[in-house]
Amino acid sequence: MANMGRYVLSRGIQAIITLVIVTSIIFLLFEAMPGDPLDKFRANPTTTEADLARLENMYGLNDPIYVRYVRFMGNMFTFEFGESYSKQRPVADVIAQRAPRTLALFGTATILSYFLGVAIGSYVAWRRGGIAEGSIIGSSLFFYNMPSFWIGLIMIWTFSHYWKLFPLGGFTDIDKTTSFFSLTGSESYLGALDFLWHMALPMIVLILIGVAGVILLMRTSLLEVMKEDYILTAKAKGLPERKVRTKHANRNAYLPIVTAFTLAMATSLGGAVILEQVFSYQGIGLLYLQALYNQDHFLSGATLFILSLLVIFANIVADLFYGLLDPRVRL
Amino acid sequence: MLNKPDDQIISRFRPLILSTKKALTMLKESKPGIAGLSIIFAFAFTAIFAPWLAPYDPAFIAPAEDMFSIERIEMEYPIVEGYHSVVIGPTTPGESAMDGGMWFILANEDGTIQMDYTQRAYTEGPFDAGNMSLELDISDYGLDLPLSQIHYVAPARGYNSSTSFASSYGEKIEAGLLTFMANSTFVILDPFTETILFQDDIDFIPVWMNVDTTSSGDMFNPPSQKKVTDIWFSYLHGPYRYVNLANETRIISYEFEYCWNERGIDDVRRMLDKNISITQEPLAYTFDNPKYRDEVTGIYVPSVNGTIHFFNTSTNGTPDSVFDFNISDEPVQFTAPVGYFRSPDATPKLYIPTAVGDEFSMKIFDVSSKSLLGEFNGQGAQIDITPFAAIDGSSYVTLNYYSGAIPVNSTVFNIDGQGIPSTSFMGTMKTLAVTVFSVREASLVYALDTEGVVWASQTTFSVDTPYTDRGMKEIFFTGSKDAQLMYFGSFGGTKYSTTMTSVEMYNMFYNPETDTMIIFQSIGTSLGALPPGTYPSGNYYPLGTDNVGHDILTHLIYGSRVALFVGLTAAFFSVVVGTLVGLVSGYYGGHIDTVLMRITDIALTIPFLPIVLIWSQIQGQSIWNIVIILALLGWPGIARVVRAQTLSLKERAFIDAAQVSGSSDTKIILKHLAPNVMPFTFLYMTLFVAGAILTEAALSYLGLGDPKAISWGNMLSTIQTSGHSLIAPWWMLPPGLAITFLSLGFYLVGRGVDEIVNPRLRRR
Repeated sequence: MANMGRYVLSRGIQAIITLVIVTSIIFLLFEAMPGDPLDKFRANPTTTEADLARLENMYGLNDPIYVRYVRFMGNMFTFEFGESYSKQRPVADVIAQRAPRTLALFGTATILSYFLGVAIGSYVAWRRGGIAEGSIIGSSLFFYNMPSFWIGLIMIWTFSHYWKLFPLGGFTDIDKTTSFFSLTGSESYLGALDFLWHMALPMIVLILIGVAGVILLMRTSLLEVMKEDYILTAKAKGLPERKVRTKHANRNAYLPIVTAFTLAMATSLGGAVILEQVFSYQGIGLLYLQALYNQDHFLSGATLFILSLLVIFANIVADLFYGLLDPRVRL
Repeated sequence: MLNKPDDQIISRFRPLILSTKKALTMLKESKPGIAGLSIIFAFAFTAIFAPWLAPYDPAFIAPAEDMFSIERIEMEYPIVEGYHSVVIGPTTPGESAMDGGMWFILANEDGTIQMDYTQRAYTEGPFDAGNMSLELDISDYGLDLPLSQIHYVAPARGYNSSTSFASSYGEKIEAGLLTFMANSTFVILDPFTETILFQDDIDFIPVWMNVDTTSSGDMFNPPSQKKVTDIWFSYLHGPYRYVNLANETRIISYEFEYCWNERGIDDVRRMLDKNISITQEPLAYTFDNPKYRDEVTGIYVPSVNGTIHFFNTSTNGTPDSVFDFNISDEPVQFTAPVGYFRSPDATPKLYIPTAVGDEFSMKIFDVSSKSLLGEFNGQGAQIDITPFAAIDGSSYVTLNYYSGAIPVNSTVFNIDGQGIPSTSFMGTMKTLAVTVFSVREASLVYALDTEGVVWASQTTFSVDTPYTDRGMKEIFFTGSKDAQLMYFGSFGGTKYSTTMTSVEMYNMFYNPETDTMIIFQSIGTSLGALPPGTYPSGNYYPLGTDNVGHDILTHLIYGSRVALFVGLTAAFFSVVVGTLVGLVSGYYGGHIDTVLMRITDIALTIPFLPIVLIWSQIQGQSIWNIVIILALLGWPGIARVVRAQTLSLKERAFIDAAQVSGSSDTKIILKHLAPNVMPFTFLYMTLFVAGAILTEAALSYLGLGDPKAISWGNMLSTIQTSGHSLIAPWWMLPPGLAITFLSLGFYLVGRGVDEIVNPRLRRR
């Protein structure tokens, strides 16, 4: 396991380098952005020149760029994000409230779609040529190529608007939930139900899109593996079909899936920005979008940092998993 | 012989061409590849031939008759021969509650008066709620005939000493008074109690008779009051009402106090009786802004030689403070009735059309500072100027052009407070305007011509509006040359209110030949996005329209251009970058390889979309930004594939041969490796094009795309921003399906390539 330790260490170092680079990019982008954090104060007619000078001093806007860079990096890595104008609360508090919601939705959806996709994908790969394969591959191809926000809109329209099965959007609305399920009382499970009911439709959309990609990938990967000599050997040995599949084929076919999972975490969490907007799900993606529109620089910068952190963290986890699965990478 | 440059080029690119051919031949064997290619070609075909395939021009907007439903309500009145006219009586003028109604008052020479009440309280439902009517005959009161010059005195909230402001109108149906001339007798009649409140014989039948601007309901804030000094205290009384009766040599003005909660009238008296020269209709102006009220409220009488006699009615009971406004030092004549400024929020202004000889001038006069604010001048005996209802700091003016002695056509335009004409609106009519007014919130101006045709035009135009689409347009024929067109106001019982919306505003015309009155919405209700079908203009919209009136099919077809352009260009750039990185990384190996591949890894794992959002905030919105963004996204994947290819090519003999023969590294990479790698990377690129099309749609949906571009993403973005996402499936489905299919086409080609590269995937 010594190799594993080295592997973890090298991945960890790479993740930290990535994070430093991404944070530097964020710094540069915000430097390049028109306007500065004081614009909000300048717009206020009661702000005096003295106030502005004091604020400039406080935020260190007149410091040379490398000083500001070092301070920005320091603040980010110690989670000192400052105060949000639009929320009137510390940025860290806002993010601490929002980030778990996004993780709950997108993390669960990604993991679920991988489990489902692997199962369906291998089923399809083992039964080539049937109607099931045709329809599953066909619909996967369509879902894989659909714009996610568009499916979101269509789903809202059909399930929320037309059939009224789900809420039109939002994060929680306890009154509507209780009246929909005709429940009364204030038990704690109602809150959970409320939360789940609002999460259901975005979750379905995420799974639909995610699962389509995994099915296609799993099928391809498995078909590739099935042509390998060791599968032929295993079959020739007279091993039962089930054992050939699970022990010999699937394990090897998982490798590209895990690689893809790594990338999927990045795109999925990045895509939170758009899907949370469609469903007005009050997560970190919508927070980021609103912060950008409100020119709340501290909030948007910190949100972007946290999003990157989450993505990179998800990558490490996936990499470690990959390491467990494929002993070769640990060498 | 390599003397022909064509040959040289061909020989240089031979490996490239050969391997492209090979790749295409192999692609032909892949079913998904063929399917994908067909889809791509189909879209490419629509993109190229868009102008011929699309039913409309991309800038086409469905005409207003399709996009708006203009409600028309017809009413028929039996009217006997003789003098008749229509008067509108708003029962809650200036009130924002909109729960009053309108009286239609028709009077005949034979002494019969008919009143019909209509109401549409928006909370109560149907149009005819609370309808009622009543009929009167003035001969029953022993009054002389003929009946002429009927006017309605609208109720108004009153002031008194204890409560400064009465809060409601109370009775909202049986409200208002009638004033008219019975032969040469001036009469004030309460039609609801059927009692004559006042009558006074004057010795003439007036040419002009009118009520003040409070009583006619033509002001935003109706009350007019004045300070009355009692023995000990001074306090406000009112609202006071004025009725002017005038001919060319004499004016008589009556004053009385009337407000909604008093059935009768108080203090009625002949306030003014003067023998003066009068050239235009006098104006009883009530301006309810405390800052100016005492100075400007009163009666303005256009006289001769550029003088307007002003009788101040605000300070006390007798108009002793006569002031003569000298509009001009020259002996100008007044050529049309004086227009006035309606809103109490600004300084009180009068719009005065004048002429000296063949020079015409529209003067804008501030009556509070008694100064000329500006003028609009015209010259030539062939032109005259008429002001019409002055609205919110701008006034509408018609210039009438004459042919000989007969005016033949009119140009309508607005001028600002300094007399400067607006450049955005100038509507020329082919006929002569007799009535012009504008509808404030709707930004529309209406005109009725001498032929009985109603014309209309927007007063503001977007920059995109073609010049030919501006100006006055015929909207319908009233059916009579003697028709009267007027602004009607709201069925809620007010003509002007600060809270009225354009949907509530109606105009009306009265056709004396058929005795019908038609009330039509000023702007109409926007129907929003139109579902597929044929519409009143005769246009057929196969996939309906969006909220602005763009044909969906046309935009769908033109959208393929942006999608293909963005997808292919972005893919091209990322292939170039990715190939270079991959080649260098694969060929050199070692530290260069490690560094480049680490960068690639990092680029693959950063949250792309959020970072792009900031980028586009910095760069602004354009198609090229999206292309750059997508190229930045795409290169790492391609770099990896190319690196793998390069690693295997590097071991081939021809690379060794090139190295031995002394070729430089750059030459080897560009001349020997790149041509062998490129065809496959370009085909791999198709997978990336699929992603680029999806990402472009997502970016446009978030509002980052070029707002002027016709793209599928923009179409979907407008659905959301205009609030049509739950009501317009004909608009929502096509762009999404188009994105899906085009993306699918590229994806299938990519899969086909994949099968070629990994032949084991193909079925035996």
